[in-house]
Amino acid sequence: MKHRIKYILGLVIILGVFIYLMSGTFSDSLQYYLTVHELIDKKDDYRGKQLKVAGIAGEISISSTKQGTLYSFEVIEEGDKLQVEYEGFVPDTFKTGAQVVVTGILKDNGVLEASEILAKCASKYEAKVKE
Amino acid sequence: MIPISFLGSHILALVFPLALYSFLTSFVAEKKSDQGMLYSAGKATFFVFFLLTFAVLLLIGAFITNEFGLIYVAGYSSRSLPLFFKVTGLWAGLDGSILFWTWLVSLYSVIVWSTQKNRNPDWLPTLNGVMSFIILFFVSIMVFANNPFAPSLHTPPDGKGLNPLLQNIAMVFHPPSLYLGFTGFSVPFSFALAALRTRRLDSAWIDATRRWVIVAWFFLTLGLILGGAWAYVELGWGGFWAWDPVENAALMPWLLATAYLHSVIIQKKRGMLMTWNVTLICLTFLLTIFGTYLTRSGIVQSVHAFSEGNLGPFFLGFMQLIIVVSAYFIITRLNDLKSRNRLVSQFSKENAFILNNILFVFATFTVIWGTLFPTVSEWLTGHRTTVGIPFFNKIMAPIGLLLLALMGIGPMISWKKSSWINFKRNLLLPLVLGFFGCIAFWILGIRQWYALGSFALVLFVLTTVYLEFYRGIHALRLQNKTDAWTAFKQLFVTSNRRYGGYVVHLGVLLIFIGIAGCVFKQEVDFALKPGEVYNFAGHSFRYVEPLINEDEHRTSVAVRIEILKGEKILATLIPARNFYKQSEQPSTEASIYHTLLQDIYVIVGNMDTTTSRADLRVTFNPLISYVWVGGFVILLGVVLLLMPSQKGGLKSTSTLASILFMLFLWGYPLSPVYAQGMHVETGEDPFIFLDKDSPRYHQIKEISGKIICQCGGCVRMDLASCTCSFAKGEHNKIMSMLDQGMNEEGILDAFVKKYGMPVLTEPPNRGAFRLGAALPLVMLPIVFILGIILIAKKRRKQDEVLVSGESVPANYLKKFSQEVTKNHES
Repeated sequence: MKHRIKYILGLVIILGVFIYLMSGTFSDSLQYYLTVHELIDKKDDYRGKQLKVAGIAGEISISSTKQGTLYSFEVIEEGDKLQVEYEGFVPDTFKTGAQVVVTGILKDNGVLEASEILAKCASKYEAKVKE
Repeated sequence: MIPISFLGSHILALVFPLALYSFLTSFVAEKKSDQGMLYSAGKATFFVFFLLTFAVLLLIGAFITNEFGLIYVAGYSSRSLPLFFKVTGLWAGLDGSILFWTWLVSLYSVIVWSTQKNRNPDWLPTLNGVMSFIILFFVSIMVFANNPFAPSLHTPPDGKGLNPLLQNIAMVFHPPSLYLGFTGFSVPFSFALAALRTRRLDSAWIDATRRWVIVAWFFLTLGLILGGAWAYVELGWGGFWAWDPVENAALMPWLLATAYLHSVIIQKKRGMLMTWNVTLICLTFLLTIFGTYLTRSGIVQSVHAFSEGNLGPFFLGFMQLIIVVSAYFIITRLNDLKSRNRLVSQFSKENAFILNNILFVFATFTVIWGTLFPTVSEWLTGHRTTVGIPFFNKIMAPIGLLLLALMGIGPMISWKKSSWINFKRNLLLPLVLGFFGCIAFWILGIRQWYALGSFALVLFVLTTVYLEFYRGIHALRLQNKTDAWTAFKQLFVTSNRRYGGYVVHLGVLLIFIGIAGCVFKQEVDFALKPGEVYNFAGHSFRYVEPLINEDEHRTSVAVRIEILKGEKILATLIPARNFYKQSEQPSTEASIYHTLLQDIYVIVGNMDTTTSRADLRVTFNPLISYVWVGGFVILLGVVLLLMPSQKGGLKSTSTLASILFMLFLWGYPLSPVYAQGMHVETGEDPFIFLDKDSPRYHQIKEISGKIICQCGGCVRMDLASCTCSFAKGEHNKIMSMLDQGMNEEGILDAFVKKYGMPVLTEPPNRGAFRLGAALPLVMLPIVFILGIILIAKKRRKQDEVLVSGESVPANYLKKFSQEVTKNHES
């Protein structure tokens, strides 16, 4: 009996730590993962929040800033567009027409100020597309 | 010539029924305890391996000969791709990977058969059955969904080329290492099922699979480290791990396998945790399939860009089957899996191991949870929310530190019940050293809790390992009256498991140091014009000059950067971006200044074409070299672990075979000799010297179309399409032969005389050559019929032997029938 109590106690402690860690870290690292369409629908809800937005990169314009290069482009999904600005280094796979996931904060003027761009190359090392 | 696609597809179509036969026959053989049937199944297994080997060679051949008639080859290769990378095209994409994967499982199945035939004959039916079923599963994927030999309707003139990111040496060895690791776990899984099936659940199956698990773990570790190294030098973001779903897919089975490697020690020494071990190994195998499913089905988003595939249902079905079968066997055998011993005290080695296992499982669960969270959250709330890198880091960091602490405590406390005296003797010194180390690091200015904890614990564990070695050597010296070095070597001979394990632990310590270094990572972005200097973190970066190079298949935009400390030039780095013409995608080439204390990692971004102003990113990665050094130490430790120990004798045929195979695998992409000497690309039409309307032009073009260019650089293009200078010379030769009045046949004969038969694109359609062309077509059915006859003959022979009762060991038969009756009774 004594053993059983000890084990249950151990289990409770482990679960407690787990729940604590999960809840504690979740609020910090939780990000909404949206498509452009979902974002345009409820723009006001997401203003000022950390977002991940997925879509296709449109025309990319480049301008020089003091620290490097500013990339302005639209993320497009079936007609819906979101203006994105990003200063820094873009991944090799980033180009017009590439599938992108942009992480950043939505500003009041409706521009997403990106802190990270992930890009997928549409043609290479992918699995077979559904036929 | 038979088209490769036809040949390849038919081989795979042949493997399918053979694997099915092998599986079903093993099943029947076990039910009826029919030795002959079993051997027939074994023959089929060997035949499957033979055919799959042929298929693999065929696909490699297709890559080397630019057989763009195959969709797969056209998708991952091109004419200008160096031969080295063409050969590795086998695992560059999904379809070829599956073929390679299947081949590896098949190779393992053959080794298992050969090594267990005499050792554990009662397990053979289950072993062969399970392995055949796994092969059957992967072959069915190729036959029904992803045929690597699928032909395209129109053969493109050139392939799409290999993604430039994958044209890196680490990426050549990373996939096969991972696959060797992943497939390796199919063997212990089969053993576990065999042990469950026969209820022979003592430590025999643990002993039989020990080396297999270590070898699989070795390759998985190597694969993870190579993947990290590749990401670090090739992807340009200055790190080696990003908790990407694809990385996690490989980490999950690794974590469980590591847990298993530790928990089997308790079963071996104390006869406990038997249910747990069987479950762990089944789960590890399940996770290798789950990982493949995750990355190939499109249910998680990943930068690795595996788009939605059509393989999801296959893998889901297979996973369900694994769960149902393993669960059935474990639940029905619970009685046989009862522990032989009880836990005596909380303060014991057993408990340290159990805690270690809980932490590893917890870590595995965290990784699964974080990877699947986006998908789960979408199901539950309709919103896709992700947890980023911070989530993983925050949970895995304390787990890592706890495991580190256990790594020091576990080996030092005793089995059953540890006493205060034992504790004082073994752990007091390391604890005191760790504590003072912690204070010293604090004074040195290290305030981040993770780094502080890591460094202090590393010191603690290091002291325990030192004490272990010191005591071991001391005892041996007293016993044998030898010097310290001899005693040190003796340790690895007499108890290599223990001390090899410590060497692995040392490697892990080094990796922890490297990871702790990431806390002090510094990064800065800036833009410079040529001649300008930027100061950061005590170093100066001078942009000397832009370097722009253009060759036949890429344009390279690079900058020369000097790193200065004070007035002294530390290093000159040349970070570059290569724009490949084939893929219209740049590839960032980081330039790294390595030292043992830190790496300075520089990449170049956008460069203004008129002013040459370049964007630069400089990253200081302290201590990162320790990760790679630690990796090497782990691999060294594993080699020590695998050495046959003196007590056991040479029981390592399978290990030896695996290591030999590994050497073969590493050697073979390196072996093709570059023969590019004669190939000088001219880029111009090779027939420019001829009037296009003259009959000569058509004549020469037709003849050269039948001859393969021997320049060695273009890889078997015909003379009519190769644009090198060598081909031009050959055209001139053909012209002069025509001028001498020779006909086409005579010219071709002259070429054959000079270079041998392979010079012709296709064998001439006459005489003996016709037979030669038909030979492969004839050979296939002959080989197949021969195989069937051989299997049947062997079976009959076995049956006869069975009847006469000779040459089959009597005890084997007895054991076999005992097992079978036991199974029937239950």
